[in-house]
Amino acid sequence: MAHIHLEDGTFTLLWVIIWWAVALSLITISLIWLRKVKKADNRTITIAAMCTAASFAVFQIEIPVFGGVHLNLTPLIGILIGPALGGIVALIVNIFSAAIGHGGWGLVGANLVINLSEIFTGYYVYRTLERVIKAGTLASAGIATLLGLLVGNMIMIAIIMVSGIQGANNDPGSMLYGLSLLAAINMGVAVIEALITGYIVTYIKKIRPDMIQGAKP
Amino acid sequence: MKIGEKNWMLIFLVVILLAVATSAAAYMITGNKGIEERFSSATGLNAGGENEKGDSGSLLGFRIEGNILLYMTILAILGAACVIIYLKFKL
Repeated sequence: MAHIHLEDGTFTLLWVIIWWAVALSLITISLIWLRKVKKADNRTITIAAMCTAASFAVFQIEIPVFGGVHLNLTPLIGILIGPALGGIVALIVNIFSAAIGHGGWGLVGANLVINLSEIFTGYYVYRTLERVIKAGTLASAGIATLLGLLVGNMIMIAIIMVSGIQGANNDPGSMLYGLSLLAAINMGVAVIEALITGYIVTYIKKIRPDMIQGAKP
Repeated sequence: MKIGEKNWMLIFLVVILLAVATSAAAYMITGNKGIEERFSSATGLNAGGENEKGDSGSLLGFRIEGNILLYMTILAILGAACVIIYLKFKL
């Protein structure tokens, strides 16, 4: 999962509270949606549990590409289990990540907002390309992943620019430039993730098409 | 105009090439840095990040972020939860 790799104390307390409030509001909407509109069946819950374990396992591993990066799996989560249950998975993974010291507690709210945008975009782009446009599974999942991660990176930049960083020496222009370069590097990793997601979704679609929420009517 | 599946694959490949080119260009501008270091320099923070420890604890360049013991413990709990849910709900 893409997240802001900064320590606790980089955002002011006000912004920590604001992003936590936004994230928890979105999670509450997801829970209400799951209870009242689209109840998750046993199969989807089982896949969600596996997504949580796989995402947590992969997310903590720094890969030696472009100086060190890690995979997200958020668009894959969105495609497999949908945005509502995907949000719960992202919450759990973010909390466990903070618990082991990967990312600060104060940034969990902001990171969750970023992850939700990736899950949401991944799910709806895949759904549109696969079901409406009929673009093919591999291309649909791959493009959905790239777009999901692009949106996530843009939200990440927006959150940092809006919140401001305590003790930062850069002016807003330099910060925007630096973060844009960072997002551009992240997109190189998004390519790896797009190919992995594309092949996983294609494989699952071949053997168990009923397991993909994004392909369901 | 309807775009066929093959053309969508072509679009996907073009997007991949664009992303790789952009990423490589950005990497050449910023140089070789770890994730935290990259964030710190982008935002103008002086610190190099809490997890910049060189190659310590890494295997072929792959490294676990955060506390490894806690990582393994939580992963084991999540794995056990998956098995229990799988057996209960019968995927």
